[in-house]
Amino acid sequence: MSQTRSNPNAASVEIRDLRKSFGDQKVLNGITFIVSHGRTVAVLGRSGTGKSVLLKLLVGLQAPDSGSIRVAGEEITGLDPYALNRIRKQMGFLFQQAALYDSLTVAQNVAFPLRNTTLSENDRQEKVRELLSSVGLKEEHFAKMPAEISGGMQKRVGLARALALDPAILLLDEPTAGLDPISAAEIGNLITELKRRRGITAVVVTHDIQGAKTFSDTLVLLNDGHLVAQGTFDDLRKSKNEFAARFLGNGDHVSNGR
Amino acid sequence: MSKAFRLGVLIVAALFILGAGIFWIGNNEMRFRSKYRLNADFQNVAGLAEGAEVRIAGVRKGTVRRIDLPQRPGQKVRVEMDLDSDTHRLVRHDSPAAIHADGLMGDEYVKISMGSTEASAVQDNETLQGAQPVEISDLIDKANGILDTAGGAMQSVNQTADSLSSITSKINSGAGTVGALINDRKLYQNVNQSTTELQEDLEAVKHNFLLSHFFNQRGYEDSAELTKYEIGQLPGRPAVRKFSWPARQIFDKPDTAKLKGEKALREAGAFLQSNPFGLAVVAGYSDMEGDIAKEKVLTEARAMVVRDYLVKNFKMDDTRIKTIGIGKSPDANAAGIAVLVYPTGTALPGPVAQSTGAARSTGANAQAASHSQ
Amino acid sequence: MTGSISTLAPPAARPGGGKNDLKIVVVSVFEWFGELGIFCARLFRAFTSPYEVSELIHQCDETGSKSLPLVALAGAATGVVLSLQTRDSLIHFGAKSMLPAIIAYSVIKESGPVITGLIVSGRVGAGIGAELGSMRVTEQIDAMEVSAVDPFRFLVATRVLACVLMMPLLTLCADACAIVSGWIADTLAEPISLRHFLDNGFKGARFSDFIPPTLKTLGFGFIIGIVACFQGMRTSGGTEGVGRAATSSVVLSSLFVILADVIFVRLILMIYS
Repeated sequence: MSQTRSNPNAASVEIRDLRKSFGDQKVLNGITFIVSHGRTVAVLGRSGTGKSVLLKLLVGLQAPDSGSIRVAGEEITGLDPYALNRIRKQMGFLFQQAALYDSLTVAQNVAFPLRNTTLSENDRQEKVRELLSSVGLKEEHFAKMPAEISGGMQKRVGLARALALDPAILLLDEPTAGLDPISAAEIGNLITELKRRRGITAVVVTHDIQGAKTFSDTLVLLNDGHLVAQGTFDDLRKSKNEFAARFLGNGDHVSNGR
Repeated sequence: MSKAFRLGVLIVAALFILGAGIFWIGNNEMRFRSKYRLNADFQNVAGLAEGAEVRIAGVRKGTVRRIDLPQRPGQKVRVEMDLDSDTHRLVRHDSPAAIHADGLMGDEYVKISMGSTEASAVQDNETLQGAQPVEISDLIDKANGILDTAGGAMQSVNQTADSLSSITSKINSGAGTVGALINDRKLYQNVNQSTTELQEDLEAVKHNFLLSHFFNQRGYEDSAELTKYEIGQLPGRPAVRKFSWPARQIFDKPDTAKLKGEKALREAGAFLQSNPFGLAVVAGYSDMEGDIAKEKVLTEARAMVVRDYLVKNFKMDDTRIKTIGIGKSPDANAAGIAVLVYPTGTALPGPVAQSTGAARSTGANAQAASHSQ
Repeated sequence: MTGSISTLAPPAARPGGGKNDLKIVVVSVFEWFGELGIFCARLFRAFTSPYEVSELIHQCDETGSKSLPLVALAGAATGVVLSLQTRDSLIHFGAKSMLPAIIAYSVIKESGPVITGLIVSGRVGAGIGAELGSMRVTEQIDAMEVSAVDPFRFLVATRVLACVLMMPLLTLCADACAIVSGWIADTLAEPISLRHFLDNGFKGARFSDFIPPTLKTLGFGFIIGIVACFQGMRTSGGTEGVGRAATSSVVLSSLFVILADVIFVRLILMIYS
């Protein structure tokens, strides 16, 4: 199943036999897959199958019980905070609820990751404007507080913030969840465009099968902490794997399982 | 900017308070004044604490820096003091240091008196001699001592008075040294007369004058009729029966001897009429207010008036009824009159020589009367 | 960092019935202190360059100047109460002239620092607990960490330092308000000039009487900051968890301020006597 490449690119993500449990509950039980440079992988699965945990393990917010995570060829498990921060600067993370700092304005939120860079104040403002425009936010919203803008806009701001340090890898946690279909489609398009323009490697955790179909190159299916199937949308849909077929078939992902 | 402004307000306020505090406390600690050091040795510092004041001629001019206990018994406690340098010219070699307290409850402080002008000025770090401080417990001991002495003095005075009266009587009888010296009969008479005049001193004159004043109003030609039953002292045994009334029930005014509530006295009269008795004493007494002499006279007069009433309205042996005016009685809450009945067989006390009666019926009588009340 | 998802409620809040419950309580108490120790260690490592100066100033404003009116009011009330109560008792002993000194000493040595500590742990402790708690449950702290900004450096260090720096300043203001209001209450009962009052109050006073009690509030500030940040940072369980974090940070920081005061007072007495 796994498509191992002998010569992994610098900005790839490799996950091998990753395990994580909370108490008695095994959330991830030996996950292995690789995201090669410039590709987008959508991680799908039923709720509570540890998809969000997977993303947090990737940025080192949580430590795995065992297994290996290599980002841009470097092992990140067991790294000290300073080395971890160096890796994190190559990664952008969009949280499920956008997680905007609610004491800062939209523009300050996007500028936040830039605070420890050598950019001048003017360059910083210029960069923020550019980022916010690129996610389709109008200038009138720049000075607003996060609580004053809609959920879709919050997601866009979160995306702009994730892109602030020009990351090589983008991790998106449910980018379209909780949005109306039009906004969801817009976010989907945005991701596709970012991928095209920036050549970003991306891991997207989502429930949105249509979205995953449009913006991802490969799909990874998780169930009960195991990787059930991986491949392109069409491959999986035609695959003999019953779970994959049912999960993707006709978008009926609310099935009762096997 | 409002954030900076708010923060500024806080910081400025805090610095201002800190500065003011340093100023106030610093003033007390005299951190900003030049000082010199003095020591004083004391047997006992009576609870003096480090940081206590040092006063020179009553002016706060320094603080106690530290207090060191001696190394060995028999040595003195050393008190180190910091003093303002402007006192340097006042404190001399022989300036005494003493420990005093601000009142009974107050803090101890060191008092340094100005020295003599001839003595040389103190050097820095010089040691002054400390006086033994006065402690409250010592004070109480002393007060007891003084009271004892006073008691002794009183006894001496009494003895002197007794000697004086015996001398006087000897002079009267023509005996003794003075009597022997007096050969001339006429001179003796003069002396005798002078002695009599002496006996009727101001006290007695005033007494008689006041007493007669009460009776003249009531038509008594001669107060002697009444005063002859007066006794100087209550019998030294307990009374078997006692009647007493507050003065305001019996007399019309607080300062008169005029009867108003005679009916109340009937109880005592009936008792005396129907029961045999050895002696009955009508005693007048008053509370602790008012002039000693006046109260004395008033109580005497009242006793006499009451006796007169009893004798005239009831049948009894009027020679066995005596009067006494106790005057101010420390145990009485209010002025009053009492009839004390003693059993048969009680010796009849003799009449008092009227002129000296008032002077002699002293506290001992009053006390006896109040005890028996 | 969130390896253990243990309860954040104060240990005493758990009902203790059987043997097992007692064991859980004891274990969670030790766990709490252990985690607090790790938290402190991590915090001390965060006091390094780059310093978050603008955030520190912002936090000084939040904890310091915004608490000033409340602290001043509480101080003033303390002064009045002290004056009224003490006056009554002193009249019994005929030592009325000691009133200014008693007010000055008790305010500066004890009431001022403790009242300020309790007010700040109420206001700021709840604020920090709720703010960090809600940032934790809405993943803002994770977002910060992912942005390669150390939340300890940016959020915790600045808040703890702000509490430490502002406490003595607030205490001085509370002391001043208490003494002035004590004077007002005194002068209404029996006129006395402020100058005379202060002269009397600070008669024989030394710096060693007043500096250590003010400096001990640095310790109060540290306790309030660290407990509130700790409770905020370990929040879990959504909105309800935020409420619990706010409550527990107030309760625990007030409690520890008073307990620490006992130690500080003993320590000061040991050093200065």
